[in-house]
Amino acid sequence: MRNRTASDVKWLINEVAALAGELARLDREMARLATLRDAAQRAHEACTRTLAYVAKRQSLPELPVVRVPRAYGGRGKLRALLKEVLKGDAPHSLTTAELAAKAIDHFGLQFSCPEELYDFRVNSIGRALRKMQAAGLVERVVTGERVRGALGTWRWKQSLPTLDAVKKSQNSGVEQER
Amino acid sequence: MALTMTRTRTQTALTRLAQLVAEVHGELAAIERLAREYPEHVEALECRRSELVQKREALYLTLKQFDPEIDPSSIGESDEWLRAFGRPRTKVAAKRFLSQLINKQR
Repeated sequence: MRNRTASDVKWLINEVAALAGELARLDREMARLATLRDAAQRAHEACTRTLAYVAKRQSLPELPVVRVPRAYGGRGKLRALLKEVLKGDAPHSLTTAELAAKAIDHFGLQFSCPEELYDFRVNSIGRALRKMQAAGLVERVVTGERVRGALGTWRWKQSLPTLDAVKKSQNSGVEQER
Repeated sequence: MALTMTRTRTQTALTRLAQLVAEVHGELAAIERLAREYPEHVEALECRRSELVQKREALYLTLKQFDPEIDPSSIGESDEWLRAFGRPRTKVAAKRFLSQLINKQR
């Protein structure tokens, strides 16, 4: 006869294993952040010393702490990439998640947890797309079918001629034939 | 003074940083020459040399922060730093520089 593991023991075994995994992930993340922090600390100290050499006689104000935007190697680079990808795939559409995957691959971004990845898709990619929509560059496509995790479907807005313009061009063609 | 969020890098800033590196390179080279010519003052020269090495490290890191692809060690030497002691590339200016280092040491 098989011995059944008591459910409380089973739950505890599962939790211990899951927490060990969580600790290992956090350790890896902390090691990565510690390396980044060391480099930033050294650069900060070097720039502070250089500032002292350069601005010898200039009285400097107390320097504030500025939280700079997420770096993509330059201002406007994320939106430039999204434009390039959407324009290249026109007239086909792409989901926010697909565009985020392309941006992650292009900029070599890393996320420590799924929540961070979700925030990147919604806040960074989503906001950039909404700004491009407001500027009339892209349009949101309503597909009717619900795609799980897509977070919206987008395509490059093509300047299609209006019905009036088509009629006018047809009329002018007929007149020329006469 | 308003801070810019764009962290715009300008050619003027790069030129100024490169000039500072060139001056440090020039001063280090002059210290080596003076140490050979005046071995009796090697202590004063060594003191200044260690200060300059630290300054060079800070400037190298600053330039790397400006552009990671720049190789600061490839920047040449400049004698502009000696202008405070007289006409650069003259023995008089170099001697004034040395005597200032000796006075500082005392």
